[in-house]
This record gives sequence, C-alpha cells and structure tokens, in this order.
Amino acid sequence: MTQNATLTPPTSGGLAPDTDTPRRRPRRWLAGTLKAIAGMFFVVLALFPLAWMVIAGFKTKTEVVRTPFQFFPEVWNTENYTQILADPVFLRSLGVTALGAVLFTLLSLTVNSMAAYAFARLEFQLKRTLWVVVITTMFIPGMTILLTSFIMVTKLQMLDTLAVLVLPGAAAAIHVFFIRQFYLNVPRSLEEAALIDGCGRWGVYLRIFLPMSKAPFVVVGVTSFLTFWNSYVWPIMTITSPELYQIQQYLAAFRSERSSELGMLMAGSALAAAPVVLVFLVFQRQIIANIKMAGLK
Amino acid sequence: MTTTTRRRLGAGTALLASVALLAACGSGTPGQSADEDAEAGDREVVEFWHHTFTTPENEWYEQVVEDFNASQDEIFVNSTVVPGDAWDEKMTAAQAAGTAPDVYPVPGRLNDGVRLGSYLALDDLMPAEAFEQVTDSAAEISQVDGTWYGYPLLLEPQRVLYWNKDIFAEAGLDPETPPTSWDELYEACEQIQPVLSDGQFCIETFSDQDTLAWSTVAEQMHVAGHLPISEDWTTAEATDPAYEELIEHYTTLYDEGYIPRQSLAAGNSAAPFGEGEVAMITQGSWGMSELVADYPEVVESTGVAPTVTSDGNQTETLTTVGNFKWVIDANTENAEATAAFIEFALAGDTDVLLPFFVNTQFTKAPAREDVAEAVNADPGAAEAPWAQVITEDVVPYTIGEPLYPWDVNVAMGLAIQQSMMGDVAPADALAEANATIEQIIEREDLPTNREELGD
Amino acid sequence: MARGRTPTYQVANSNKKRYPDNVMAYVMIAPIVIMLGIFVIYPAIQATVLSFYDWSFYEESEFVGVKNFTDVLTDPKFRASILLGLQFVAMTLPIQLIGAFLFASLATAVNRRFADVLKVSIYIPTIISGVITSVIFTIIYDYSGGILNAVLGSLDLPGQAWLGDPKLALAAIAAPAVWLGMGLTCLIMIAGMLDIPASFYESADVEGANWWQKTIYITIPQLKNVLLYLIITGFVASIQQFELPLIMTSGGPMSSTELPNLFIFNHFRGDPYVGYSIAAALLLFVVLGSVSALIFRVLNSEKLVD
Repeated sequence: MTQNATLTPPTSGGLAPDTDTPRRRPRRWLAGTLKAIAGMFFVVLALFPLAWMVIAGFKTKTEVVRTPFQFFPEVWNTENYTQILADPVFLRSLGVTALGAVLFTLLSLTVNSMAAYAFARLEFQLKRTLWVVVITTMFIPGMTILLTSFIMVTKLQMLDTLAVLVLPGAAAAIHVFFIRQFYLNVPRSLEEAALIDGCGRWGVYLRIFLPMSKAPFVVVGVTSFLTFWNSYVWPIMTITSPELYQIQQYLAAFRSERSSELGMLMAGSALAAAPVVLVFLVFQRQIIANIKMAGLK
Repeated sequence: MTTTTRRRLGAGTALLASVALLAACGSGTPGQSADEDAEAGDREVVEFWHHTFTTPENEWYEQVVEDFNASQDEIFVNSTVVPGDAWDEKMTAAQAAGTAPDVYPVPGRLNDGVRLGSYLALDDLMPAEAFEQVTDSAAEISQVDGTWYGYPLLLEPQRVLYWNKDIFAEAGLDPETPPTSWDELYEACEQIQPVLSDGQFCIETFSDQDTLAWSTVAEQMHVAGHLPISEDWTTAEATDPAYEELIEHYTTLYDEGYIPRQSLAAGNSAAPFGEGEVAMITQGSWGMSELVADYPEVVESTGVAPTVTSDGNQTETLTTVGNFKWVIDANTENAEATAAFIEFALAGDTDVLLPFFVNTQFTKAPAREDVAEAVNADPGAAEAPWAQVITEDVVPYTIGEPLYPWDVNVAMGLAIQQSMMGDVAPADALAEANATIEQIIEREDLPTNREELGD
Repeated sequence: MARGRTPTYQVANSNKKRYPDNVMAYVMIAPIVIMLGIFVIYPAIQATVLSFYDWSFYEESEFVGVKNFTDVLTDPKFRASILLGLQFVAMTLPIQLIGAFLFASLATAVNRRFADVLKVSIYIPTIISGVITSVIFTIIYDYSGGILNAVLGSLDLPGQAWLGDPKLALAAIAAPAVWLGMGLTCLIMIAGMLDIPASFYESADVEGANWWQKTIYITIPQLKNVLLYLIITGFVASIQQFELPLIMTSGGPMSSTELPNLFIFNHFRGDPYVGYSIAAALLLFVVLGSVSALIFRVLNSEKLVD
C-alpha cells in the first residue's frame, strides 16, 4: 500500500479526459500491434534455433553450412530423417533412454515424495539432523563427486547397466524440498479426520496426500524426465555398450565421428528433441501453472 | 479415491518390476553385452578399448579381433569402441576405479604413463623376436629407457600439404608446383584470393590452441634449431627471436585472411578441403585416406607435398610423426593373454597388418620392416601417387614428438594464438610462455624426470 | 523450520509418546537416505579425503596435506577461470532478467490465448539438452556458411569468428545459455507479477499512472523476493555452466571459454593426478554452496513467516 502513497501525480493526467473519444481507438490499436510485434519477437527468438535445426535436417551434408548461404534447402530432402530413423543404434538409444527416463521418473517420484511426507508430517527422532543432511546434499555440485561417485558405482558393479543411470540421481533433495513445501500447506484437518477414521499414517499418505499431489508430481516428474533425457557427461562415463547408449551420448559421438554429415546430425538432434517437446506440450498447462511453486512459493 | 489408490498400487507394482529389471541388467561384466558373454564362454576375457578412426581403420580393428577370437579357443577379446569425445574422461575414470581395459592404443609419448606406472613392460611378455622387425623410429616411440612399453602399429606424418590443382590452374599458378616456403605461400595466396568466392580461403592450417600446440613443434625446431626447453629440461628457452618469426608467419596468414579466422572443421579433419572451402590445407597424412573415403571426387585434382617451411628447406624437421602403439594396463589380471593378442595383431603375420595400410590408401608408414616391404609390394601402392611423397619425401625428414609434458606444448600454442588473434606482441607472448614453462619445470620437477628417462 | 509446525497436541503429550511415527518415518525416508548416502554423501566424503592426497591410480597415494589447495589457489589459471565465470554471469544474468521482465510484462498485458502461446514458446528451449543446443548454435556460428555471418554479409559487414575469436567466444556461448535459461526465468517472473494484487494497479490507474510509473513504484518493489531468488539461482546456474563450452569450444580459443567447471573437468581428464581437480571442485563448492545455502535460508525463513 505504501507504493500507492508514494506515487507521483501522473504527468499524462491532462490527456486522461480524452480517453473515451475516437482518438483513443487508433492508440489502442497501435498498442495492440506493438504488443503483437513484441510477442512475435520473443516467439521467433525462442523458436528460431529449433526451426533452424529442423530445416537443416532437410539439407544435404554440404548444404547445411555453405557459401553462398541458403536459407531453405534446394530440395526438401527427407533422406536424413529416414536414414537416421533406419539406424538401429539411434532407435535403440531413443528406446533405452525413454525406458530409463520413465523408470527414473517413477523412482524419483516414489522416494522423494515419501521422504517429503515424512519430513512434512511425521515426528521422529533425528528429524532435524536428517533434514539438514538431506538438504546439504542439494548444495554439492556434481563436479565435486564426479570421480568418487564413479568409483562407487564401479564397486557396486553397476557400470554399463541401466541401474547406473537410474539409481544415482533419483533421490534429490531439491525434489524432496519442493514436495514437502506442498505437503506443509495441506490442511491438517483433512488428515485428522482420516486418522480418526482409523486410516493410520500410511493410509493418510496413500489416500489423502498422494491423490492431492498431482501438481507437484507433474513438476517433479517432468523435471526428472528431462534431467534424465538430457544428461550427457554421466552416461559417457558409465555406459560403454552401444546397446545402452543414451541419446545425448549417441548425438555427441555422432558429432565427433561423422563431423561432415551435418544434415544427418541435425535430423538426429531434431528427432531426439521431439519426445521431450511432446512431453512438455502434453503437460504444459500443469507445468506452467505450477512453475510458481517450483520457484518461490 | 479407490481408483486413485489402485492406480498408485499399479505404479508401485510397475516400480517393483522395474527394480527387478534393473537388477537383471545389473549382472554381467562391464562393457559386455549378453551376447558377448555367451560367445566368450569360459575363455579368458581380454578387454580391448580403441578409438574410432576412419572407416577402413575401424573395419580393420573389428576384423583383427574377430580373426583372433576365431584363431584359438583360450582367449576372447572383447572389443569396445570409445568415441573420441568420451575417451579422456572415460579412461581417467576407469583408471581411477581400477577398471581400465587390458589393452588400448596410445598416441604420443609413453614416458609420463611409465613414470606413473600405468603400463606393463612387454619385454617379459613377448618373445624377443617379436620386436626384431620394428623400425628404429617406431622403436623410439615405443620404448622408455630401453624397455618396451608399447607395441607400435603405425607412424604417420602429422603435417603434409594438400593443394587443389584446379584452383591453382584457375589462379594462373602451375598446378603441379605447390609452394615450399613461407614467401612462396604468401605469393600463391595473393594470386589465389581473387579467384576465391565468399567463404573460400587460401589455406587452412591448424589454428586452435590445442592443435597449434602439437602441430607447430616441428616448425619450432625448424626455425630455431631447438625446442622451447633445454635438452636437460632445466631452463625454458622460449624467448628465441626465431620463434617471433614463426608467430609473425601465423599472424600474416591470419591478418591477410589467407586462413579462416575460425577453424572450418575439427582439428584433424580434411573435410574443408574435400568440400572445396580451401585451396590448400595443412593436415596429417591421414587426411588423404579421409579424402579418398569421403570425397572421392576431389582426389583427382589433389596434390600432396611436404609442408611449407620458413626457408623452403624441405629436408629437415618437416613434421613430427604421429603414431599409435598398444599398451597393456598395469592393473591387468590377464597379462599373458593380452600379450598373446598383441602378438597376433601387431607382431605376427604381415598379412594381418597389410589390409590396414592398403585400405588406408598408403597414407601411414608401417612400424615394421617386413610389413613395409609387403605394403610396398602391393599393386595398389603404384596407383596411390601420394604414397611415394609420404614415404620418400616426408617420412625421412620427420622428428619424434617431444618427451616433455603436454603443458609445455600448450604454452607455445597459446603464445602463437595470443599473438595471432590478440594484440599481444610476439616477444611478450613468448615471454609469458617462457614463464609458464619455467613454472612447469619447477612444479613437475622436470630435470629429475629427464634424468630418469635416460637417453 | 519444522519445529514451528509441530502440532500442539503432540508436544502436550508425554515424553514416551513424543515420536509416535518413528517406524513409519524411517521406512519412508530410508530409500532417500540410503541412496543419497551411497551416491552423494559417501563420495563427497571420499572426495574430501582424496583432496589431501597426491592420488595416483597405479601407485601408493601420497598424503600431501593442503598442497592441492594451495596449488589451486596460487594457480593464476584457476583465478582466471573464476573471473571468466563472473564475466559470464555478467553477460547472461542481466539480459536474462531484463528480458524476462519485459517478456513477463508483455505476457501479463495481452489476452489469455496469446499469453499461453507466449509462455509455451518461451519455455520450449528450456527442455532442450546442452548437446543439442551446442550442435544447433555451432552451425549458426559457422564461419563460412553460418546464418549469423550470412546476415552480417547481407548488411555488408565482415563475418566474425564467433567461436574462434577470443574476444567473441564467451559471448557466443552466453547466447545459447540465455536461450536455455530464459524460459524458467520468464515463467517465474510472470507468476510473481500475477501475485501482485490487482488493487494496487487499479488505484494507480485511478491516479492516472503510466506503465513506467507502475513498474517503478509497484511491480519492481513487489517482485523483490522473486528477483532476489532469480538473481541467486541464475548466478549459481550461470557460473556452473559447462556443457556448452565443453562441446562447442572445449574451453578455447586461448582458454577464453574455460569456465570454472570446465577448467576442473579439463584438469580431471588430462592430469595424471586428480587431487588438484578435486581440490578445485571442493573450493568452488564451498564458495557456491555457502552462498546458495545462505540465500536459501533467508528465503526459506521468510517463507515460513507468511
């Protein structure tokens, strides 16, 4: 409210009485047009690089970067796309990455939401200590433990298996924190009623909290899915068999080995990005609505 | 609410199932798929990692492993291809965890690895006859202080000049006479530039820091007669004015726009030449096999020559030689079996190695005398005109890669690049390089390392 | 934090009843504690121990005390990479914040359908991987056939070595970093703006305030917390960027894109002893970790107030 009090008198006040006259209309139209142009500017900036990738996927290998520059391909050649879609290694890495991402997401939702519930609603010894420990892990950058966690997974005989991709990152303090924030805001009256009904704590978690968790679950789930789908350094260190190649690993290897086949690289990148874009478009409403929780509140 | 619960239970079951699945995937030796497990049976398994190279090289690697596995039933070599972008981090991590492969190819010098105890000595694992045919220059890079730590596969000059005869003719230059000295190069470029279209350049040399670091070593030697560190590794010698001239050479190429200001492709690829983006390119001899494989249409008009030197003298320190030798990891549990594989692949029948050199279009020099003879006798050798240039005009005038730590190369590469692209005067850039090298000498106690190396 | 929420009926209960949920709670947090313990906490402890050793893979490791740390701290290249990191933050963060602010102002001022299109579009880059982003921007920056130099060429300007010129390369990496980071910043900003009570603007309208005045006197002060949050998370994310330079330039030319994490990574994969890189990573962690932990605490406690 203090802001209103300090507002200086508007200098444009003199024009205010005119607002209802026809003169206002072209101005409103102008403002609308400006907004539309500004909006288009942002949309183009955001989507152009992706469009460029898709277009380049239709170019032959010498067309992608060539002089004189050419925006569109001479012939819209679908060969790159069909060829890469016919590559069994590419398809398999798409499949394996998708499988891993789904498992990772499910695991992440399960372990993180359980912990979130315990930290939000249950009283137990060492709660504070454990909470501090869990939250501290949030601030350990991956680079610090890159080598030592590699040694750990080697000792556990997990190298070159799906487990090495799925297990290490699934427990994440940031997700526990986020889901817990949501659970803290669930009215106590709800669960007290359930407790009186004889539900028990598990029942409360399963019947009351989980069904209400769609919003945080969509955010945590999609984030987990994307994290898995987009990870690069960990897979190249831990996965050796081409049968388990992750999609980013495949693309990076393609880039370093067949550096002259840019058209196909672009087609592959576009196809590798397509699934996440689809997942996002399916859940976009929930994600966008829930972003504010992911942020501050 | 009950349906939701059921759905949750469903998810829970799926999760349990997936955990079981993970556990199932979790058996098996790292780096080995189920098929290979079955194939190996109860044979002793030797893990072999190698890089991806050009197509004919990759085919040879695959073939030699297959042949070895078929040749006996005691040992099974499990071959794993590690892409270039992943090699360093994968190898470091594997070494740290004690799971490095039993055998793998190593480029560059072995002395650092030997000092750290990374490789097994081969002398006791392979019969003395196995080393008899190795050429002197290949022996030099495979031994440390008289002990064999690697078995050499090949040698390849890291710098030769490729020129496009069509563009030369169009520019009014003699299509059969490539430039030999810096001055001739400048003249040629001046004449070539008018006929180039936008986005085409006179020449692509190595221009990124890391590539400059290794690719200019022979040039450093050529212009100054010594390397930027004294023989006994006690003092840095980077401030020689001759190095300033070398830097000015690169600055000229850069300022005149003879070279592109940003590498057109990865440091070891001849693709820009193949795609007609440059009239000349300085590249390793492997560039020719790349051109033959990927750009057959330009082979006809491609000439191969010794690299341009400061003074046009092409019979001295033309280039360093790249090489690959295979080493056995010091932590291996299958030393004997691994050595048997190396013996089969590299030290045995010349027929095993012949396809490697023939299929790479005679662009690499064999590391064994008998293999070299067999390769030269191959009818294909006569049809590869560049083969003779490489073996006769380049290979005899090469020097080995330096033994000192890589950081020293980087310091020089940085000095060249700083001066070429920035506003740093050559002398200042070299002074900085000199200081860096002094630091390295102290930090890594180089004089002692040098003494331990022997001669 | 949790203390404040402790329901009174439990506190009022006798001591033996103080922790009625012990068993269930431990079952529920066991998975995460075990997983974090194995994959994060133990490796972090091990890394800390190793940082005091000259850790060699094939020989006995030698205890060297704080040598790795002094090596890192006295290494001008490490300091240079930290400065580079700060420079990178200065290139990305302000653009991201101002851009997001403008975008959010626009998205909250247009009709719903258009706003939805805007939000979805701006967010899509966020979900694209670093590898793909690097691949795309590398062809955009290509020296002789990239679209950026083609545009310059059509304006009769000379083409630039975006990734080859040490003066430009960091900025050339900053652009895709902003592109990737913009989506989340924008959406959080929008959420923050929508949280500002409409009555504030209505009374400003009554007083006839223009957009600029409303922005200065209402929007920005009301967004204080959101902005603080975005600045901190943006800072930490930005200074840790490493996939883009790793793939696009490997840190070159002339180390002009060797951001702190890439510096550490390059040492890790190139050095015969890894003690140095672990020590460097730990130092970076101590600084960044405490900065973000501090801010996290401040924000978190504020949240508990409302």
